[in-house]
Amino acid sequence: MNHVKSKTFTFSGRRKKFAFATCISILAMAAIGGWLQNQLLSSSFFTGYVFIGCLFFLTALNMRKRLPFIPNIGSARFWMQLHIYVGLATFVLFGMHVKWRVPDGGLEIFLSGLYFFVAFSGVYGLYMTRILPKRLSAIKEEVIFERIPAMRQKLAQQARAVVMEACESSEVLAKFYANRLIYFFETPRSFAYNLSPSGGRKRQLVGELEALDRFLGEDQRHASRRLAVLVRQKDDLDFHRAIQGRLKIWLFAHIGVTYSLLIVAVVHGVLAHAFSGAMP
Amino acid sequence: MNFNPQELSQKHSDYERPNLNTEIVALPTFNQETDRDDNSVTNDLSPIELTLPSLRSRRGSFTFAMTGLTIGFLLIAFNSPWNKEFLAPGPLSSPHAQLLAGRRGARCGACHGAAHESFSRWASGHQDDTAQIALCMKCHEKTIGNSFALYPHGISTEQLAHCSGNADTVPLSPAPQDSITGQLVRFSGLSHGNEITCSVCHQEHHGNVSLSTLTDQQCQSCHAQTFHSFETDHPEFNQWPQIARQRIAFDHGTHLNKHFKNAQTDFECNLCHVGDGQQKVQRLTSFEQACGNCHAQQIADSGQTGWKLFALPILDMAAIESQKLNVGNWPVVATGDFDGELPPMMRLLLAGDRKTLETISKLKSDFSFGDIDTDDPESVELAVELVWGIKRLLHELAQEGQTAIDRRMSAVMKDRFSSAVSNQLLSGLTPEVFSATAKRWLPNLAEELQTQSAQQLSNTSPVHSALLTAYTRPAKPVQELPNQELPNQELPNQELPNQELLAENPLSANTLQDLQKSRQNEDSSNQKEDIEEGETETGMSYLSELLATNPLHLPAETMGRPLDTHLKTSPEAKAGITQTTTAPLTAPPSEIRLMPEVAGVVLKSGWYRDDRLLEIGYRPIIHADKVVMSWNDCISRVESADTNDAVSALFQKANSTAAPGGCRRCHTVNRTDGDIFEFAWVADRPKSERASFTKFSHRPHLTLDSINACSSCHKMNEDASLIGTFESCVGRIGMSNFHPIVKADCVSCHQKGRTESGCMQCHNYHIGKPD
Repeated sequence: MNHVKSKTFTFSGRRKKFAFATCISILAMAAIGGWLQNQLLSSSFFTGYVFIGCLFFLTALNMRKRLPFIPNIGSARFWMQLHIYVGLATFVLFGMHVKWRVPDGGLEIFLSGLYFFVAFSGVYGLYMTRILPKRLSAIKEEVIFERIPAMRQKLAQQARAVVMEACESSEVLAKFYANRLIYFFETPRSFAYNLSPSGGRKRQLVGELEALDRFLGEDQRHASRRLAVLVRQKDDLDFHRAIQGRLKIWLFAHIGVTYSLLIVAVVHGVLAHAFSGAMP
Repeated sequence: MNFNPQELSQKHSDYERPNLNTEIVALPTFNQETDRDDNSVTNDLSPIELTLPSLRSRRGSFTFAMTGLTIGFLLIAFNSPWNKEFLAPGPLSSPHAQLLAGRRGARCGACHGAAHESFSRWASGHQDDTAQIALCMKCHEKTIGNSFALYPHGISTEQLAHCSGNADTVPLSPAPQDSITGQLVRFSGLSHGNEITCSVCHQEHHGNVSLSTLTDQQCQSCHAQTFHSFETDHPEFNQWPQIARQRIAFDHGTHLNKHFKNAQTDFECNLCHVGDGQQKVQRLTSFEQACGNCHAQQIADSGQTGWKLFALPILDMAAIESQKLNVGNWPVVATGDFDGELPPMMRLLLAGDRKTLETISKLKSDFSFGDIDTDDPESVELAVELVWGIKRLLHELAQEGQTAIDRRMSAVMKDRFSSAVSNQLLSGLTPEVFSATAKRWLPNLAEELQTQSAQQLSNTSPVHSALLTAYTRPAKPVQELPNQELPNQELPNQELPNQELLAENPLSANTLQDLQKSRQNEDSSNQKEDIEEGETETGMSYLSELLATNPLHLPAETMGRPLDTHLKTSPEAKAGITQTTTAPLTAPPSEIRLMPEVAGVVLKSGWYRDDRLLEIGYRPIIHADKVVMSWNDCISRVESADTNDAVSALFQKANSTAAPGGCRRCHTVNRTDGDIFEFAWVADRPKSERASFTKFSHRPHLTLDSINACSSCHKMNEDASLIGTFESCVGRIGMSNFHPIVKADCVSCHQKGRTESGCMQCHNYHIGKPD
């Protein structure tokens, strides 16, 4: 193992430096804005240009992902960190730009709404990417989101096969499957479960399976145990889908509205210049 | 779980995913085929592959759709009827909102030139930005003025340098052009050379907030001398508020310690000083309320001497004859040794005649005909030229009235002539007065002037002068005057009339009774008999009509015609009454006789004609007499009135406290920048063309318990005396009965933590004057 300390910044090392740089940048912007204001210059144009520059830079993360072949532009992880800190800095920039007032013009309200939607979806995504992986790690298996439907289908097939084998001697398990388990295995979970996933359904079904034991023979009890395992696996799969779905869906909101924000911001800038009353 | 997810043909990746628009999903299926005959079921677990859009691809589609929706929304918003409301960055301030309340369609275009241009022009940056400034000035030029509106403080750089007292270091713009700030200023388009755009300070669309608020730091962005707070760094006031002397010669100390004490009256500030509507300043109340009790009688007494408008001098006819000069006909009562003053008013009017101006310029300011040296031919000739000038003046006044006054005053005052003021010079005096005067004193004036003019042209020897009484009347009717011969030279049996009043005396009840009587007579049925008994009453009736209307502005066809001519066109004349009139010159209203003049008993005001002294004059006996004020305003407008040949005599008299009416006893005369003078008729200082850098409102201060009396701030200086300080036309700064207000008086309240003490609390930014 190489014990020589690498000159390459670690993730946590970069985090401290970026946080410090972000604070310094915010203070510098505030100082420059105040100085411009005292020099009878419009700080709104300065903060506006910086703000829209930040928006384009934040959007460039997506370009970075699309252009991985360009050398020496930093890793995606480095860009993601920059994205996060610059994004957080835009909250202060926005406040400076609107002079800490609530925008009251139609276009300004629309623009501010888009910004806050994108910004808070970013913050939500940041929170999700920090919190949800820990919850997923509680489940041993790794599941790829895109494969979940196939896996759910496979579990349903396995459950069907187990029940088919068991029903040759007794119909108890088959009736239980038809009444209680087939909907659980064959369909995705409800919207309420995806919002707040829990193991209640799993515990209920497993308990009901255990309660059937007194009506089952030895072979059918073995099949009942196999069904209980499949119920737990299906519940874990649903949990993966709910949690990973959040990680996927927030990006739809975050990226999907970003370009709308850029367009409206550019229109706002053009209008601001045209109606500023500046001298030629 | 008994299967490996990575087996499902998905390439392993820690973080980065392949940029694929589709993904192949291997979907295991449970194909159940049932044979209807044997009910056997076949299970086939072989997977099937589906090609579905990847999550990235679906996200891209969603993003594309959202972008399209946004563009569509913007297009709709830009072209919708409510686009103004949508695009406006916020509500307007109250003043602008009220102005544009009803202009829905052209709301933006009222202030923004860019509103009339397209989005492509906006994006290209080629819009006309000057239009917005021009639109601002379209309304605000009345208070700011166009010339230097965009300059710092709205004044020229030279004026700014003068105000700052440091012409070398005064900044021309918020920042020097070669500095970083200057370059930023130019880049931002907020400044161009010395000019700063309006929007630098006045930022609209922020709702109902003050548009003119500036922070102390913004003020100090230009000002070289910076300070942090009013209480610690602001310089001491410079003799504020005693910027100039009082306009009224009022000595607070003398009135307090002498006059009010003798009258045993309390000397209260609010006797004279009252708040205006907004209580920003304390105005002075009217003369009648503040001063009239004591000073009205003084004015009445001093006005009795009267101002002479026109007077015939006494001529030494022997001396004139000895020099073989001719003055034409001259009243015998005005002959003897050269004597008589040249009234300053008449001197001014004479100077308005091109022919007489040269003669006037040779005279001393205190010239009198007694100064004529009979042994000096040139001196006698000067007197004769003056006499002809006097005759021309009387003739023009008789013929043209106010028109002649305007012409002569315009010649003297040049471009500073104002007909509005000139119209008041002979207010209350009818043109028939001069016509009647000319016929009474110099009956053949027109013919003499015609003859004299012809002789000058032909350079022939003049005719001899002739003497006549002041009451020589032509034997024939007036309409035949131009063709008649010179009237008789003497009518020794003619009775000399007493002093006559030409204008209505508002204080004389007798005069009013006479006028009422005359009206009653007018209404009587036997008009012809009235005329035969005395044309006087008819003439007086006509006078009252003239006085009630516009005295000197008669129709052109009546101007210059004798009163009898006018009478012929009157209703009575149309009725054939004047057919028998043979002595029209007795008709003028000069026959209205006054009661015997006893000072203090019967006050005579207004115009008068004295046939014994051969003069026409005016007696002001009330305060704010329009005639006297107009004469003073006229002469004060003449450039260098104190040295001007035409008006210096009148100016010196008007500028004297002994002048009739005694205006100068209280009202100061101040020399202005244009070397003209100004009579301070109004006690309050006139609103300057330029706003002051400093502002103050009494209103918020008078509500404080700690300021319970005027003397809390205005501390009287018992040692100061203003006696003699108002005689000069140039007032000294700081001349006051009160100690100047010092900064400490204000700092007691205006300091951090107590009340507002910023720059804008006491200072104005825009002080530029309108163009």
